[in-house]
Amino acid sequence: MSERDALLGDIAAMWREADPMPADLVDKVLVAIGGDNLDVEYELLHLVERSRELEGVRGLGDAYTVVFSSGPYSLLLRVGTHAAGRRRVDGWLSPPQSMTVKVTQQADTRYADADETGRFEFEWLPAGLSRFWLAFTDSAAEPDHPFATPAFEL
Amino acid sequence: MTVQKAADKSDEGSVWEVSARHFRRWRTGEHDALDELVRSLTPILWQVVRSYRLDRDQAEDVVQTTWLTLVRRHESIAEPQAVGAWLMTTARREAWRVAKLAERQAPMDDEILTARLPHHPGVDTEVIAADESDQLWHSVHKLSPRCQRLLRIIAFDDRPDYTSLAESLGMPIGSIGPTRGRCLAKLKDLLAAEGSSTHV
Repeated sequence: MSERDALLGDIAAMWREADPMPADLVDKVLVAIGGDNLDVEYELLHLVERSRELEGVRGLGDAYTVVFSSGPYSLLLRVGTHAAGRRRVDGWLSPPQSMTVKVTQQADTRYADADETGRFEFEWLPAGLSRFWLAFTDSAAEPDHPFATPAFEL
Repeated sequence: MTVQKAADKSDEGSVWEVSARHFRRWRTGEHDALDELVRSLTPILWQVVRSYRLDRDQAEDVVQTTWLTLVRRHESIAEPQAVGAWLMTTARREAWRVAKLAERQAPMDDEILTARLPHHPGVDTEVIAADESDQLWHSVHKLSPRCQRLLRIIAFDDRPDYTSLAESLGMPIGSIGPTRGRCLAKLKDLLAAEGSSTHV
């Protein structure tokens, strides 16, 4: 510490001001690590990309896609924002697996099923911080524990 | 925001010490201590992760992944004292992995530049302060990407694990110390040149 250059303190102050942590990041982390899921063994899906697209049909509002992946698996979520505070989610896992999909939010837990095409849908979910959990229903499928996304704003 | 900054500054020397205490308390069953650990180290993790030129969504994801990994693997940390270093190393490895995977580098500079665009002229002292921070900003951005990354990491993490740092910077361990010295010297030269640029 005694050797520490004063200039490094200035650099830290500069970055703190120029590129501050998002105001809600701590809350996102607390949602992600909170709850009763800590004992569950799961495979974490990583965010690959998040993109906005403009809906072709008028009146339906914006939609965007979020892609997560882990190993050979990719999870694509297409999120429609057709009503304030509500999100429609169409999901697709590739390569496909039949599975149960669980969405955990601050106040809610909701479920959907995907058949062997790997597709599922939530006609509407409340907007807000969410985590998706995928549990394969085919007992021969690998891995034998669920996948989970990080918490992200739906 | 101002309060947050002031706290960061006064805690700078002891944030690792404070974190070790939170971690120890959490391990002995105090659930709230984990929240405090998250609050004290997430701002630093953010800065370290962002130095790898990830966009903001990716950086948030890496920070979350780091904490999830801690919760699931904390048994592997023998000494509570090491929790800060463990988190920084995990975050840098994950940031490096995602950066290689995505190889998308463009958005960051624009975002930061936009954030800095409005310059309000104030009283004299404020003008001088703004000039100094502008000079630092410009000088830092004239450094090589590797120097920028190394200095940003070291500015927030004064004793990084050299093995993983070397790996994620793509340089031999032995050259981190000398490179750090060279980058700082170069920055001081650039700052001196900025200061005298009015004479040219």
